[in-house]
Amino acid sequence: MTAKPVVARRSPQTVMRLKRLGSFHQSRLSFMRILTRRMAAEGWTFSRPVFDIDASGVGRAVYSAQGPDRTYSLVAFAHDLPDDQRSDRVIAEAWDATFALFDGVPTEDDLNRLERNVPVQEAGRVSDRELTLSRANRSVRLWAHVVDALAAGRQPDRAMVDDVGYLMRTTAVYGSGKFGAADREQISDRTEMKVPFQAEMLTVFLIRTFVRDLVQHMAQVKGGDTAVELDPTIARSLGIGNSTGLGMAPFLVNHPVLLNNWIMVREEAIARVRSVPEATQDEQAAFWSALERAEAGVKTWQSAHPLQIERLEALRADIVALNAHLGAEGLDHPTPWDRVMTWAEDTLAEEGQEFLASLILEPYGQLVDGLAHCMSDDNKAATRIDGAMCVADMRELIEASFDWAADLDWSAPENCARAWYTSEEKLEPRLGERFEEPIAPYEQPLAPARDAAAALADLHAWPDNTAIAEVLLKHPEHRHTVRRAQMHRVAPYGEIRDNTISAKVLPIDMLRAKLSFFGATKFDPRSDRWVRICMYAGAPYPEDLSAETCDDWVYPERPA
Amino acid sequence: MTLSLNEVEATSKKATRGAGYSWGLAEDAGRAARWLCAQGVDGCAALQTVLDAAAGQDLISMTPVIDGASWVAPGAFACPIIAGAALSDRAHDLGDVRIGAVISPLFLAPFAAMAAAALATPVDVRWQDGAGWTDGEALHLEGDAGRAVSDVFVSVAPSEFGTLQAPATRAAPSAATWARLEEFAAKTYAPATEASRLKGAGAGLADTD
Repeated sequence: MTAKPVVARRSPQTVMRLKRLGSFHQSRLSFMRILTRRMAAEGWTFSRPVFDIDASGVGRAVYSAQGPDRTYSLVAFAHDLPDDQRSDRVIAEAWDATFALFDGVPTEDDLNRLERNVPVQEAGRVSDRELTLSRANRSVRLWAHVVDALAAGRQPDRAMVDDVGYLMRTTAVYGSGKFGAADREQISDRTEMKVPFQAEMLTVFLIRTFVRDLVQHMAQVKGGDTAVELDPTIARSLGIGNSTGLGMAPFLVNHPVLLNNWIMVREEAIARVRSVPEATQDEQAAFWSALERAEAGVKTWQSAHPLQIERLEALRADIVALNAHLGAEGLDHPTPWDRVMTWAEDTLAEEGQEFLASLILEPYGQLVDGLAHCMSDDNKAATRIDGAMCVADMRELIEASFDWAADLDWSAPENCARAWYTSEEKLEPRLGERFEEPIAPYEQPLAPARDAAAALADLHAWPDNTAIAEVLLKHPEHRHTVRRAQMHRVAPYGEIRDNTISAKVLPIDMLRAKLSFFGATKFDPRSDRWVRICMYAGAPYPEDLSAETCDDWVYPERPA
Repeated sequence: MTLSLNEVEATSKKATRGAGYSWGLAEDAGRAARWLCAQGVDGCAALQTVLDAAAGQDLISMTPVIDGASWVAPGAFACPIIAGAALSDRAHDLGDVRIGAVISPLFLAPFAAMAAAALATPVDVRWQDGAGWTDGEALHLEGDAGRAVSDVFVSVAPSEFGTLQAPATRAAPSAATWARLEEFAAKTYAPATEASRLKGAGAGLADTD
């Protein structure tokens, strides 16, 4: 007897390139889907204890989500924002709506306290009773259209709804102790919060419900008896937009163990499915259905960005090729998923490969969904430097993470053209031109490959058997590099294997990698460092959440 | 108003960098300040004492020269961030150590905790008229608060603990201390220019549609 074939995880060398990370798609292991599956499985109940919004659309509302052990409440404030103050930029100072996720059910006093702080966002303070702080702006054109149509007794134009996709978009969802909110550690041992970003995903899930209710309220105010209810099918197709800038890119570099855990879990899931010896007819049918529906989703995915337009064209062509290939040869082969993935690696672009990699997980919830519990970072010990490690081992570790950069000339301007820094105003992360702006003295440590090269150069002067502790006393400037390299031992997928300060770096690749794990769809870059996405489009609203609706909502319904 | 521990760590890290330390040491100082606050001790004030003394100084003058069990900095005092990092790095062969003239020696305790956790044995840090013991998780303090310059004796001590500090999930440094740390942190921020505002953040297309 020979052992059954077991397909290994793809290597960090393959996976951790920016072009591939920037081609990632949502999957069963995305944080939004993990949340909606959990809430359905545990029978969470939802209520709206407060909805106190006046005729001009100003006021407050509370939406509570009750799980088996605890209740979480979205506290929403609706504002009357002049059009000239509406901006997606993080430096904005006013918004159409502002939110906090309250840990429990807020009292009147809590609401009054939050009303003094939440509407001003970064300029206010929240407390350890709050888990997130967020805000959103209307899509001006769709909001006005939907209010006017419903008020006049009509449904909104479906094409226009599909074109925009959301009534409001968030411009930040802060968690993890920001602006005084509860630390991640305060909730990380709760079953429902163990998976990363569950508080943030719950916030957005409830915001979407509030936004639907608010647009209905405004239509009612305007139309009175003439107004009609928004068609539930249209409501369901609406997501919440999100506009994300550079802040997410440093997050990935600053959390190598967390990044590793997300990537490794997805790679493990892919490897498990690729190792499945044969696909049952049910599994094949589940895959075909997901493919057909995902393809419909890609058809409505639009972008005005030349790069994404090109990638979308390639993806659409790849999906045609995939359908043709599988249509011809089917899935009745040994290890069929490995077979099609191998074909894709030789045939499709990264977008197509990653689209397929996420899709083959769909029939195998039992095999992959449990991995969600491995996506958080509980490894506090990883931050301590083991100073006993000898210089020779240290060099080897650094080289293992940065072998791809061994021949890179770091003195060449195009290889260090950019510098990451934090701006004085609003503490906004930015990416500047090192040789054109006076920013180098303020550079953040977000170029691990360049810093690794500098450390290696100095390490060559030290005897192989010297303890690294001794080197670090002389060279404290290499301390962060040594720590990262040692983390590599527990986090092989923790390091992006591309130059993050190159003249050609595309920060949107980093943003997309992170947003894909949230479960975002319809990535629409607005520049090389700013992207719009859609969240929860197609998802059930709280009253419709069930075992049937809780998971595959991310794919559009099968075309009739 | 209380601060989250995440805020303490983030601001302490930036403040340490702003005071002239390397990013790696700044990371350690951020975690150390947070750890002290999580023990219900004012880690922000302890860090402020260090940074106020270190700002503008040559860090080499505060870096201990390690000669076996005797660690002595060439300058007027040793920095507990630098000495602490060295203690934690050297946990593998940590014995009894005397560190000469450490400023804010309480700030060594979080590093002693990292060593204790790595060794799975408590470590104690004694300064003039005071001391701290830690098993890596918790902290026991006695006597002087450990803010003034003092010679320090570190030993691996599998001894019994006294009363442990009650853990805390929030920090409440004085407004003056917090403002000072933010002042140091601000040195890491680039002054905004109109060009960077437009280019650096990548605004391009209309964002109001």
